[in-house]
Amino acid sequence: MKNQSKKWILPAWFITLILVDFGILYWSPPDAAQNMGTRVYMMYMHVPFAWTSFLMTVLGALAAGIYLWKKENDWERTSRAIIEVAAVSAFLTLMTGSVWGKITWGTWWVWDARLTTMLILFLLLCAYLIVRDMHGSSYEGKKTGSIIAVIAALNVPIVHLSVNYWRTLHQGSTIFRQEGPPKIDSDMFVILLTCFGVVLWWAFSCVKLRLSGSKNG
Amino acid sequence: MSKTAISLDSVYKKFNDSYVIEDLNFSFPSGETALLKGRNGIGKTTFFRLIAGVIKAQKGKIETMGGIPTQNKIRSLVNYMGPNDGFYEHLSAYENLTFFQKVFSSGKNFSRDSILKSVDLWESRNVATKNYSTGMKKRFALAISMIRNSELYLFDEPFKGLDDVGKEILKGYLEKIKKEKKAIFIISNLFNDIEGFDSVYEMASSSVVKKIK
Amino acid sequence: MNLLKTTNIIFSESLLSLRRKIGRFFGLLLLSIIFIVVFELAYEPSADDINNFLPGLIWVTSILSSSIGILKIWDDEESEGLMDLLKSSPLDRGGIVLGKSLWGAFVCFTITVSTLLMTFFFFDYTLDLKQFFFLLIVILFSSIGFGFLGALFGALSLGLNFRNILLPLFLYPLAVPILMASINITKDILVNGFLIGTWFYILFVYSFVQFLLVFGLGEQSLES
Repeated sequence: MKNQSKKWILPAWFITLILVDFGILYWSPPDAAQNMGTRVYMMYMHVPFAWTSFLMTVLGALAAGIYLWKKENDWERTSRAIIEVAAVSAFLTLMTGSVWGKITWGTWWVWDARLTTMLILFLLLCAYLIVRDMHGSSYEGKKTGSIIAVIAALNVPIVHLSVNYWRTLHQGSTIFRQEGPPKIDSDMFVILLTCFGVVLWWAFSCVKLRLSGSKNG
Repeated sequence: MSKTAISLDSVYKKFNDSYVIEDLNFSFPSGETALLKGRNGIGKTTFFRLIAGVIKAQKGKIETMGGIPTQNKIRSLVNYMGPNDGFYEHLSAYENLTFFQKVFSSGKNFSRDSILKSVDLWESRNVATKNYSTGMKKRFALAISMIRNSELYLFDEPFKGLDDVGKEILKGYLEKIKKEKKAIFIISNLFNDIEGFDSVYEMASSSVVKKIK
Repeated sequence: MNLLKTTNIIFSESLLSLRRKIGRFFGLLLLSIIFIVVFELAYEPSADDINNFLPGLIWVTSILSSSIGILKIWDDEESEGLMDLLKSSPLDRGGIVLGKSLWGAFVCFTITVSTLLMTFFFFDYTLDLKQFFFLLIVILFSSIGFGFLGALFGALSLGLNFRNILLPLFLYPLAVPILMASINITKDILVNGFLIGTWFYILFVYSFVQFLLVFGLGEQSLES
C-alpha cells in the first residue's frame, strides 16, 4: 500500500500544477506597476523555485551540520536528498529567470549582483553533488560535502540581500522588505503563496522518494 | 607449437642504472609445470615481465612460444597474471569481464556468470571492484585469467592474499590447465612444492635461474 | 589484434566508463562556468569589447578545463597491474594509445562546445548557423590536436614521479599554437564570417601532425 501511494506522488503533483496554472490564468490580475502584462505568470514559477532553493539549501546545510556533529549517516543521507532538490530548484530559478530576462530586457543573462550570486549558489550546490557522486560512501566524501553544504547556506543571505546592497537590474525585494509590508497585490500574493506551496510539496515529495530509495539501496 | 616455451639467451635488463637481470640464460620446455622461488628483490617479477613481453630487455634474445614476446600473436598465447591487480577498479566484475571478453577473443566462449560463480564472486558481480577485499580482488584477477585460452601460463604470486577457499579454487584451476598439457610457471615463496607440478626452480641471482627439483 | 579493433575497444570502454565518472565530467563543465564568472568579475568587459575578448575567453577557459580531463585519461592505467595486463594482452599497443587519444579529443570537443555555448549565453551573443558550423570545425581540429597531444604525453609520462606537475609543463607550451590559431580563427569567424585563412592552415597542419605522431609513436610511448 505504501509503495503504491509513492507512485502517485509525482503524477498528483503534476495534475495539481496544471490546475494551479489554470487558476493563475483566471484569477491573477495583470501587474500594472511594472507593465509586464501576462509575463507576470513567469514570476509565479520563478519566485517559488527561488524560495524553495533557498529553503532547501538552508535545511540541507542544517542536516549536514548535524551530521558533522553527530556523525550519523541518516543525517548525511537526508542532507544529500535535500541538497539535490535545492540544486534542481536553483537551476529552474536560473532558467525561468533567463526566460523572464529575455522577454523583459531582451537578454538571457546580465552580470548583475542577484544573478551572479545566484549562479555562485548553484555552482556550490553542484560542487556538493559532484563531491558526493565521486566519493560514494567514504567518510571523507561525506565530510567534504557537508562542509560545502554549510558554505552554500552562508551564501543564501548574500543572494537575498544582493538587490539591496548592489546596483542590479533585478527587481528589488517585494515581499521580504526591510522598509515595510510586502509591496504586492493581495490576489497576486495569494497565488504566489499557492504556487510556492505546490513547489514545496514537489520538493518534499522528491526528498521523501529519494530517502526511501537510498535506504533500500 | 614450439618445443621450448621460454628461451632466454644472454639477457640484460636495467632499471635506474643497475642491472636487475644480468647475462641470464634460461630454457623452459613446453608443457612443463614449475614453481619459481627466490628471495625478495632478486628479479623474479622482472624475469616474468620480460617473458610476457610487458618490458623489453636492453640486450640479449628472448623467445616465448617460439617468437618475440612483444608480437601480438605471441601475446595471445601467453596468460600473464602479475602480482598487482589488473582490472578497472571503477567498473564492476561484470563490466570488467565484458571488456576483457573483447580483449581476449577466446573470452566469447565463456559465460560471465559461470566464471564468476566458479570464483565465488557472482553475488558481488555488480559492485565496483574497488570495493572488493584483497582476497576478492585476487579471485577476480583469476577470473580474468580463466577467460583466456593460452599455451603458457605465468602467474606471479597467485596464492598471495587468498583464503583457503580461494586457494582451493586456484589449485582446481591449475589442475585443469595442467591436464590440458599447458606450460605453467608460477612465482611463489609460500610453498616449497606444488602437488602435481614437475619441477621447482630457484632464481639464485640476477644471472642464474636453476632447477632445484 | 589489429589497430582499429583495439582502438574501438579502448574508446568504447572509456565511453562506457563515463557513466561511472559522470560527476567528474560535469565538474569540468562547472569549472568552465567558474572561469567565466571569475573573468567577468575581474575584467567587467563592455559590450563594445565583446569581439575582442570573447574568443580568448572561450579558448583559454576550454583549454584549462579540458586539460584537467586530459590529465586524467591514463589514471586507471597508471596502476601497474592493469597496464601490465593490457601490455601482455593481444591488444595492439598503438591502438591503446590511439583509443585514449580519441577519448581525449572527445573530452576536449564536448567541454569546448559546452564552454562556447555557455559563453555566448552569459554574454548574450547571437550566432548564425554558418558561424556556429565554422566554429564546430575549428573545435574539431583543435580537439584532435590537443586531445592527441595530451594522450601521447600522458602515455610517455606514465610511471614518472610528479607526473601531475610534469604533464602540464610539457603540454601547455606545445598547445600554444593550437590556442593562438583557434583564438584568431574564432575572431575571424565572429567579425568577418571567414573560416579559411592562414591560421586555419596552421591549426589543420598542427592537428594533423599530432595525429601522425600518435600513429608513429603510440606503440613506443608505452614501451618500458
